Amino acid sequence: MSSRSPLIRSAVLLRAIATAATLTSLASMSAFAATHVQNSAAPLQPPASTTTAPTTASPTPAPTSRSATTRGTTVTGRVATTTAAPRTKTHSS
Amino acid sequence: MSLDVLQAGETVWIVARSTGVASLVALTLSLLSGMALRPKSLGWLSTNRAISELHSYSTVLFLPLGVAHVIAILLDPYAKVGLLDLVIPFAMPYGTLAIGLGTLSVQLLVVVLIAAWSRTRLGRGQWLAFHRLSYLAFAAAFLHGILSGTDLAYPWLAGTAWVVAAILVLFGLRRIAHALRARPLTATG
Repeated sequence: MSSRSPLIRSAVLLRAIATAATLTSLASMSAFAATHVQNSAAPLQPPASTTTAPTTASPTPAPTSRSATTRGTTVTGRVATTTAAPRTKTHSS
Repeated sequence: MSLDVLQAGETVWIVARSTGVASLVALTLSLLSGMALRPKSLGWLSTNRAISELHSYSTVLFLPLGVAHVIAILLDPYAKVGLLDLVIPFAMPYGTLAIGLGTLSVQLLVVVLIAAWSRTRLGRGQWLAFHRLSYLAFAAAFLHGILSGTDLAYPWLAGTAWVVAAILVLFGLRRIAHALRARPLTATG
C-alpha cells in the first residue's frame, strides 16, 4: 500500500480553508436569500398575522398603499374605477 | 406597517437563513473531521494532527453562526418563535416537528460543548457518551433544515445537502467498521 504525502500538511492552512468555505457559504447564501426572499415551495409557512384592520369608516385611501401579507410580497391598494354610465336597465311594463 | 420595518424584517430573515445554512456547513466540517480521525479517512488530504486541530477549531466556526441563527429567528416577526420555544422543543403551534428538531439540536450541541470544555473532569467513557450526542445533534439539525428550511426547499441546495449527508454516512460507516476491527476479540465460546 503506497503512502502518499497528504495534500495539505499545514494545520493553519487547513483551518484557513475551512474558514473560507464557511464564510463563502455565508456570503453566497446571504446574496441568494436577498434575491429570493420568499420561496413558495418552502415546507414551512408561518401563519398569517391575526391583527385585523379597524372597521370604523375611514377617509378615501391613498392611491397606493403597502401592506405585508406574506414575506416579501406587498399588496397595492390601487383599485380600478370607471366613470362610465351604469349598465343596468329598468324593466317597465 | 412602514417600509423601514418591512426592510428590517427582511434583513433579519436573510441573516437567519444564511447563518442557518452556514452553521450547517461548519457543523458538517466538524462531524467529517471528527469521524475521519480514527480510520484516517482524510489521510490523503492532511495529517491526522491537522485534521484533529480542524475538528477542535470547527467549534469556532459553527458556534457563532448557530447563535446568530437562533437570535435572528427570535427577532424575526414572521417566524413567531419565542424564548420558551428554545427551552421546550415541539411546542410550536406550527411546524412542530421541524422547529422542534432545531431546538433539540441546539440543546444537544450545548451538552456536547459543555462536555468538551469539561473533558478533564469527566472519565473517558462519560466524555465519549456525551460527545457521541453530536451525531444526534447533527441529524436533528439536518432534518430541521430539510423540513423547515426555505433554502433547502430549492432542489439544487437540497440535492447538495443529501449528497453531503451520504458522504457523512459513508464516513460514519467507515468509523464504525474501524471501531469493530479495533475492538479486542473476546470469544466466549
